[in-house]
Amino acid sequence: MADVADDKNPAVEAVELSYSYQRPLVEALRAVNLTLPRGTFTAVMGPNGSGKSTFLRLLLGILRPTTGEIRVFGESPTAPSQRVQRLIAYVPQYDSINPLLPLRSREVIALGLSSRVTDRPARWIDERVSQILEDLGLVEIRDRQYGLLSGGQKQRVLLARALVLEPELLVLDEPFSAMDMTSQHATAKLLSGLVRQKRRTVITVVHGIHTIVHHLDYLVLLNKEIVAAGTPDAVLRPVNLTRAYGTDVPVVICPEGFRHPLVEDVHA
Amino acid sequence: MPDFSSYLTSPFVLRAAAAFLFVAMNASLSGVFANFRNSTFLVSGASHAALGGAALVIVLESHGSVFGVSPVFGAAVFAVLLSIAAGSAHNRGSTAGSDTAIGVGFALSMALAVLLISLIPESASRVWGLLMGDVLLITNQDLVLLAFLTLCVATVFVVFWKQFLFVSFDLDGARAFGINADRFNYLLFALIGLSSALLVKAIGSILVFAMLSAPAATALLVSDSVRKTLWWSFAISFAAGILALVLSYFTALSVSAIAAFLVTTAYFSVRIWRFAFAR
Repeated sequence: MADVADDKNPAVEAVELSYSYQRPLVEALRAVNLTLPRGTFTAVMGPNGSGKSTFLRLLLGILRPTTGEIRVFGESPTAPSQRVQRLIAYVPQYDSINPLLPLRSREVIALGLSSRVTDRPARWIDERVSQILEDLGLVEIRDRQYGLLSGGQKQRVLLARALVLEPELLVLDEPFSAMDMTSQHATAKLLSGLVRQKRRTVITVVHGIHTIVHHLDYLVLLNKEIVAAGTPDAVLRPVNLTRAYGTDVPVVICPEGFRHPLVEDVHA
Repeated sequence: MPDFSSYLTSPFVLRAAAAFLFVAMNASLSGVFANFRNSTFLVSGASHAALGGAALVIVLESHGSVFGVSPVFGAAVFAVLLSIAAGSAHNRGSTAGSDTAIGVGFALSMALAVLLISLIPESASRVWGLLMGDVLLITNQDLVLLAFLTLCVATVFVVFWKQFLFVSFDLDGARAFGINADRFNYLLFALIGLSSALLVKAIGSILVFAMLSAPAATALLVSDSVRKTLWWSFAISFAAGILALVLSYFTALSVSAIAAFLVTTAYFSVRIWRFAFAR
């Protein structure tokens, strides 16, 4: 098993997890074994079509494993009780959202919160939404239409929609792809703060890892199966990157001593 | 020919005005969500599928197999079935598959309607009447049925408002937030199909597409919130219906056709205005 850490009560545990899309039959994930402890910051990276988003969808209970199993906080995310789902918040890729609905930023956040929290008055929802907008520096765009925001602003609104739930497990799908450098670093710091100060678990799919590599506890390198999993320093080795991306990927070491692969848009 | 005030207060015009009120309600709910979902083709497909279902009821009635069943029932069943087939493809993430399901269902229903008409030619005029519609021929019974089913549609929208917004905005996100997104997606598609079927008697299956889709499309161009989109869609649809009743008096043209012409003209006018003047 490609355990990245020993933990008696892990946040995520995948055992021989496989998934194939039907019609047409496409194998997305093959026999993934992985244990991710609570209170850690993990990134999943790999080339396009390597199964990163499929892994997240399995973790969220959107997909059911073809074989094997995945447990989140000890339970299947597809269990009818939905107990696990109430502990998770998800930040999807910003371009997977329908831009035709004229929802304002605050309404996007309120929609998520009021879908999860049904026993609170509208005023409580409004207050929470205002607070998270202030915390993330989004007050200026609170009444702007989501569809008219820049990509980076959309990503921050979706992050706010997830964070307002105060989840035990935060799952993000390429949250930095449209952000400017400043927002990327601020967001990485914020996610790291969630893990270090509040002991929340964060799992994010990324293409470029430079923004967060300094903050990560674990890195999972995926190409339909786990190529390598462990600390970023152990995983970001040329041999692993070549196996994952099918081509040589140079690695540089920054002045702080962290390894940075020069992967931008390397295809499988 | 009656004078204008007598025309406006005549029972058939008042019934038509009331029918346009319910048309506008459907346009501001199902029409708006069809636009939100980029699924306006569903409206066209469902209204034509409705024709097949209505034709089946009419033919069975002529044959003596059923009695006292409104053609709206057959129309609703066919339209909802088509919508569910489209929703099934949509839930699997295939917009193209959804359009294919709508197109094939559309063609099948139209073929069925034509076949049924040729079997019993004496019922042909009733079926073709549904193709073109005539709001001035709406009966009290038709109006009560239209009102009842529109209120049912509106009630479901009110009860599941948040879920419909969420699945329309972010289907995967809704799933991750614990909403049974597939079920609500089916329900939403079924409501859009049902609305399309309801309007067939009043405005004809050919023009349902215009009356449900165009006001909402125009409303989206001029609104910056969901609430405003609903109100604008309602206002444009209802105003076009009432204006069409007035213009029909002076031109002797079909009310439904004038109303459809007005709502589509409103859409193109706003488009042109925005192209010419809006930054």
